[in-house]
Amino acid sequence: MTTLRRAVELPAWLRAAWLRAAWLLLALSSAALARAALNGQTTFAAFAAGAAFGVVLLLAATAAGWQVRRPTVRPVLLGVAGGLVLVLLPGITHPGVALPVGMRPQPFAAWVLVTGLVVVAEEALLRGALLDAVREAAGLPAAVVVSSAAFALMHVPLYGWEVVPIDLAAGVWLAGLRLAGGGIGAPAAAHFLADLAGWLT
Amino acid sequence: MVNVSTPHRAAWLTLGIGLLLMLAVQLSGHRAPAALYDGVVIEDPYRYLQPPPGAAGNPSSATASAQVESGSVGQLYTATTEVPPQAQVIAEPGALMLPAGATSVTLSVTPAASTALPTSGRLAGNAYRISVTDQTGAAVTIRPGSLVTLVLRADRPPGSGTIAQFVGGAWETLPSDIGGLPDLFSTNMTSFGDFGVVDAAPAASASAGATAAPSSAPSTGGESQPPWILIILIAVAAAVVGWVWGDAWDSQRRK
Repeated sequence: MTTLRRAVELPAWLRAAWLRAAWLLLALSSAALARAALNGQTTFAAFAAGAAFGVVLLLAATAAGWQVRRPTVRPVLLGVAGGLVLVLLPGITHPGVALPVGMRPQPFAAWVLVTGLVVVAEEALLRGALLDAVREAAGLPAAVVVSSAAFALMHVPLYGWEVVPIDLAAGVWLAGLRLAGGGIGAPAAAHFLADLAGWLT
Repeated sequence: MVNVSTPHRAAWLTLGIGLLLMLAVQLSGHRAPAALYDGVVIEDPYRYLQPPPGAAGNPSSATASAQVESGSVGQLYTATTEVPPQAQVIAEPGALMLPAGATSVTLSVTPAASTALPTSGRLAGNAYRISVTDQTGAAVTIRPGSLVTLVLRADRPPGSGTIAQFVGGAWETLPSDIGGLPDLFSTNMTSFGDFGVVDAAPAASASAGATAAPSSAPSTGGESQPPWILIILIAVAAAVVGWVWGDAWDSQRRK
């Protein structure tokens, strides 16, 4: 991994790991609620709300000390493999059952850009800054549980409570990819692949 | 910031737990229709056959045809053109019982005027008439035990939604799952006919009144009931695994 800039000098109030974690959770929940409220009834509003959500999450992660790094090939390949597991699991457990069509937002290029931004931002905050902060404050098991729970709950305003079980489980899987890959490259690749499969289904 | 390097054992353990949890969710009967829920959520305004003031009308119909080969029909799928589709039907290969002499079949999904309202609750959107006929117009039925899935969208996230079938002059509710969004529902059909989403608790979600223009914003997911039992089971399992894992992690660090 190549660090593109020098480590951020955190403000004093964010140097305590548990305060950093609390700040990240507050930023995440506020952004998720605001996005749901602004998602609106038009394609433009949905894309704008998604893009703004991504930018806010990236800013919050950066403020908490997350550093932009250039992903290397190995984590990305690992993430693609992890993403295939995510995508194929419903079909493997329920062979022969076709999945219903959800949404295919157009234009596709805009969807790819906004979704890519949201994916990287969510991974930077959840599996990057938040996982590091909680790990420093309370240990690795707590970090995996908290980041996965946050991942599941942040989707409730848009998708409802039904998403919590699968997103909680997928959150643990993505945290495993983060630990295996060393950075957010692997979970981001897996996450994006799963989203892309959702569009193509 | 802490060092991100982590022993491989912790990574593999986390991946293993994640995989087991995902399998448990998929096999629990609470099947998730997707890998995960994410991306950009866009829903067109609901299109009514008989739109209330300010609401959109002109809902689409859909058809799909297939040839009969070796006495059977392959997978048959069709969906209306709204985003997401307001109605879609997926019939697995061999799910249809064909009349003698059938050479092709046509699946039709058409919005239909409801002739009766549910005795309790409200019809949350259009009724849809689902039918399959062969080339002569003869009705095709569903083979018992086979899988024909119907997905319907409600006009807004219901307080307590379920798909219902209009049978013998009344709406009969069918076992339904959430279909990926708070206002999407799916069920397995055993016969074709008229279907709709019935909201059994409209007071919680329809405070604006039945004549108000429905919202298409999928931002009221909090109205659906959390699958508490599954969430609690996963949380307990995660806590136990975390406790065991913590011990293992500590012993590994002490070595």
